[in-house]
Amino acid sequence: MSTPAIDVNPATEADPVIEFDELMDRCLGNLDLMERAIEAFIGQFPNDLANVGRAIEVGSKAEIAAIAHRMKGSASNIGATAIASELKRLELAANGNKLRDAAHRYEALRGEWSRLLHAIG
Amino acid sequence: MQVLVADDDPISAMILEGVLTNLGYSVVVANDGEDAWEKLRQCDCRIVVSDWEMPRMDGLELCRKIRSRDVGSYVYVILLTSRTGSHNLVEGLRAGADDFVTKPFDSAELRVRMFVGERIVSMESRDLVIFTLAKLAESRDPETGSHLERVREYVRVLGERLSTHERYGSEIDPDFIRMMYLTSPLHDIGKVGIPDDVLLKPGRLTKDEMNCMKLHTVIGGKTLDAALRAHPSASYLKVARDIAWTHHERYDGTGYPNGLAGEDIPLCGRIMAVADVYDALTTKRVYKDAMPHHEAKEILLAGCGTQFDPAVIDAFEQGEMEFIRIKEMMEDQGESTEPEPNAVDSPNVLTN
Repeated sequence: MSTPAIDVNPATEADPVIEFDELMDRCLGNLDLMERAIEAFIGQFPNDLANVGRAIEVGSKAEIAAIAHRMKGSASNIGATAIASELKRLELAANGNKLRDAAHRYEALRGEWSRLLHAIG
Repeated sequence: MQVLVADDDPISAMILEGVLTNLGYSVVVANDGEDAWEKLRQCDCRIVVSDWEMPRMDGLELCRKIRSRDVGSYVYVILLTSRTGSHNLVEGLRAGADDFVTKPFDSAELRVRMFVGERIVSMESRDLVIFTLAKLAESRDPETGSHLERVREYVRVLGERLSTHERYGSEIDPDFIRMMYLTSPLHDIGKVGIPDDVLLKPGRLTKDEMNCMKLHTVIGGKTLDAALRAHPSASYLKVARDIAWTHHERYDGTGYPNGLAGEDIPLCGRIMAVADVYDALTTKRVYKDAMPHHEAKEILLAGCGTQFDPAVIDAFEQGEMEFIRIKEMMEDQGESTEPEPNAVDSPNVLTN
């Protein structure tokens, strides 16, 4: 498996938390589908985040990578690109046996999540 | 068409389901490979859009299972992946995937890749349907031998010649010719509904029997029309229906079943009429011997503008040498091309 390029530049406050145009295109302009997808993402994310936190605590790298991989799919599909990038870093850290790095990525992910919640009110 | 989406991420699955529903598909969702495999055996999904990495059973294993076990008909598999590199492509193809879509998916790309999948699976259905129906038609056709094979070749020649005609050039393209070639064996499919005592009668038909025989155009046309209404995207059924329904119409409006005239008769029906009559004239039947080419040609030319579309007769004359070659190459065993006295009948009777 080839390693995808990693975005080494963390998101800034100016970066959009959700790329709405991208999501709109993906949903073929279906606003109802967009809303449902975002609501589902916001509803599911805290639980997934907690599960990643627990996996980091017990040092389960496989579990961290699996959860991060699935969360990355959700985030990239709804256009939450900054969160998706953090999840990609977290997955790579777990797959690379870098637990300390994974813990750092987890904190950065929590930060991005807070930024998203703040932005959408 | 039913499509199976397999993705362990419910949000990605939700978006995929929404998009594919918007595109007109009926979507079944599975939350991993095992769930997908179970659902695939319960529903009639012809296309699977599956994530690569999933718990319990991943997309590759799902592909392998689909390819190694008979699930009834061909299932087209599109793998969703963020993996790059030709070795991943090879791994996916080796497992049995047909195509790939990069994650996060682009709806425009997904749409065209779904069209490709539809085209592939509909080709399988199309060929199977045509083959089955043609065999059914053949089983009820007293004029067996190579009739169906010859007629489709004549149709091809006429189509190719007409494609250079100034009036029909824009209407006839390679797809039209291919579609006619494929579906022309179904022209007499309605004969399955004609009673044996009429269909298999060795002598000349009475008026009532002739009227009964004429119904084969309606039976065939209606049967294929019902199939077309159930599957409107199957364009080959439209060509097959038009051929079955109208290949006994006459250009002057005195044919059957509807007395259509001129260009009200679909072009495929006008082409089929010439091919079918030529083959009927030049082959031996229980009630007549085969007619040589030059006599059959005279009859066709005599029917120009009355029974047949003049443009199709022009195409016949242009392709005359090919007709002779096909006739000689595909002649039935024991076929006599020597004319016998009083063997000539009217073309409509000859082709029923």
